[in-house]
Amino acid sequence: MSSEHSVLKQLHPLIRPYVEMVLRKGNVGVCMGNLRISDVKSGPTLTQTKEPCGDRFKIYIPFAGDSLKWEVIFDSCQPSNPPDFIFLGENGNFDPDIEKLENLTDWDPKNPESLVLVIEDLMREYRCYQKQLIEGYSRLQFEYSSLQGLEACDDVEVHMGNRLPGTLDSPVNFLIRLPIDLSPIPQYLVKDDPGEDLAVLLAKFHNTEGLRVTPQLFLSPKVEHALGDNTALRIPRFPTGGCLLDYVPQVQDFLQKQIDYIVEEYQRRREYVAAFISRFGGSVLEYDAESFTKLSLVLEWNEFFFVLHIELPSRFPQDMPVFTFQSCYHLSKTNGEPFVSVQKSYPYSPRWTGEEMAHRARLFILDTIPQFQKVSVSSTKL
Amino acid sequence: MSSTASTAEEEEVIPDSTVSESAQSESEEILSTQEEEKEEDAEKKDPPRDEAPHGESEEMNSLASTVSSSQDSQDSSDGTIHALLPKVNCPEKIVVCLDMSKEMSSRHVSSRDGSRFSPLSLAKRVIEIFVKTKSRMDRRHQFALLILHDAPTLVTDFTHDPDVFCEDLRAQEETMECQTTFNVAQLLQEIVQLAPLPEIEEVEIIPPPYVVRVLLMYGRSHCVPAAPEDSQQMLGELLQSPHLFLDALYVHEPPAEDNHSIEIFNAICDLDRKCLSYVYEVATNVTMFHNHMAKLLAHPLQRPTQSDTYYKLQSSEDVS
Repeated sequence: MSSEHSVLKQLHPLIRPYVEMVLRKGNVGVCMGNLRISDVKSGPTLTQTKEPCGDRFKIYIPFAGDSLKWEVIFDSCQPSNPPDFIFLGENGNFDPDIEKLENLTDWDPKNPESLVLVIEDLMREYRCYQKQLIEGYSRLQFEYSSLQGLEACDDVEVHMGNRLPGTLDSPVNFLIRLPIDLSPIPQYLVKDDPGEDLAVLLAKFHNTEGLRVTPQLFLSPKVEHALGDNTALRIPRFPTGGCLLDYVPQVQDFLQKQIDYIVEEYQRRREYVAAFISRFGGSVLEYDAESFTKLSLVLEWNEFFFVLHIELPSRFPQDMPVFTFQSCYHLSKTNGEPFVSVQKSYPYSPRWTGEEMAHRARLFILDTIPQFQKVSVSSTKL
Repeated sequence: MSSTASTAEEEEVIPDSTVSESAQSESEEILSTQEEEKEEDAEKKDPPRDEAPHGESEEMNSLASTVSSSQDSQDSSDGTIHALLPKVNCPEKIVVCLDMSKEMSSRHVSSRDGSRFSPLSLAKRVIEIFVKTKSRMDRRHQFALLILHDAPTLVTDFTHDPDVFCEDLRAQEETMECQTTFNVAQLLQEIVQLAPLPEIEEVEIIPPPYVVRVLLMYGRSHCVPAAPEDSQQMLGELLQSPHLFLDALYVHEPPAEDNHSIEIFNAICDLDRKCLSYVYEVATNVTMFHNHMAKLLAHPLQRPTQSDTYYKLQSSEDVS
């Protein structure tokens, strides 16, 4: 933000509002990465002045996994004139038809959003330009058109990069926005992450033949936290000779499965805790009422009281909960903490219902408690 | 000891002796009198389900039921249990109020190996186990220590760290003769200054950021906790607050002609205006002291009411 602030400070005050709007609202395209403005300069001025008079700058627009570099040139002597654009680097051949850029031809100096609108026009034309570029390549054309109207694809940007040295070939990026619905995810996983649910698949075609494709999945922070931080690393491989028409639905399916998985694991934990509360309701000390990962009870066997802590691992029900028996009478001699005995292995099956697990747990506790009593008394002192 | 080794081991192992065993065994862990045996017997019954939610001794029960009927008339507008907050395990701010009156160190009870403990040393021990266990269950819980002489004194302000708390707790040695009155209203007032209660509009729906729980460890058998007339209303309002909970463990001389144990117990029960408190009492049974403290671990928003508590793990022969 401070770099944005310094950019704005350098600009001529009449030009500044347009740029401010761009920084605030310049979300164009599938948008993976941040729009950036830098290199503020000023053209020749009529007067010598110490006031900021920057009237030209470079703008970096994220597009299809690359960054477009354009130069925007206003004239501080005539700030109400629309700006010129130079398309730098690999976009040098982009030559939009000015007639199609309505917000440029009818530039409204009084509207601070004018520059945003022009950039949107340009991006629209740029997308068309890219589409035209790939028309010459049947493979790419096929890939692009096959994605249109595909359910697993909300939006796609394609971008042809610089020519590969020594060839007439270029790498091509397809950036595909995948539909994602996080609403079934339990609240506690998403409540601290404002922001959008975004999942984009970047498919880098190393050449126009599409024989080698490197896929990468990018998730917004909210999605990443909800699904587990290394979900993006585990997407299915792009099959050799495969195509996006088949692959994109695979990835979308993979994402959906992650969501289903999270939801199901939560439900199973909740069911487990509910079953224990139902069976041992008169003995509840406390339990995690948000993510259902732990529960503690105080129980009595033959006038011997003890505390039982139950912790559900992240991969429950595949992994079994850990039972920790704790003495209410004795502190351990070694560390001054209440005496405990941890049980990580006992009769268990992930296929049991929560109720069955609670029933079997009771049997296990009954089996274990006599020994626990002996050990807790003999190894500590009252 | 004339018992065989195995029997001795068994007796060692079972910290609580049943009435029949204590009559027979030579290694008794408590000094038992007729009265105390009766008390133990009654204590082993399931807590009564309806009126007297708090008493676990027979003698206490009969008077407790009188108290609760007067309780009913006190909140006659409120026959039912109060509005229940959402059952969330929000952090607790637990204020341990440790009585440091002379009586806490002037009496002694014996454990099974013959060592003698004062109520104070037992209280310190069980509080330590309590704080460490609570902290293990949730690191967000906080603990403060108030000691009670004639007036409450803050020893430890709220801390998440059980070790810090326990160090201050262990340092409490000096008991004092106290006056014949104990002002409950003043205690609660100081507590809510120490821990302001959350202000929430829809208490039944919105989980509070924390609840305040007072753990009163009271040890006087001659001084009845009371509130002066002009504080009664304030006291009543505090005790009705949805986010304030008052639990108590009352350690006392066995009820007798020359003490007020029963009256005091009833006075403490009377503080349970919402019927959501856990109140326990114990005279000399060391094991019971520990058991009650374990029950007090329960989170006020998630635990059953005291009359609904049930801890017995039935053996396999019983109906599952």
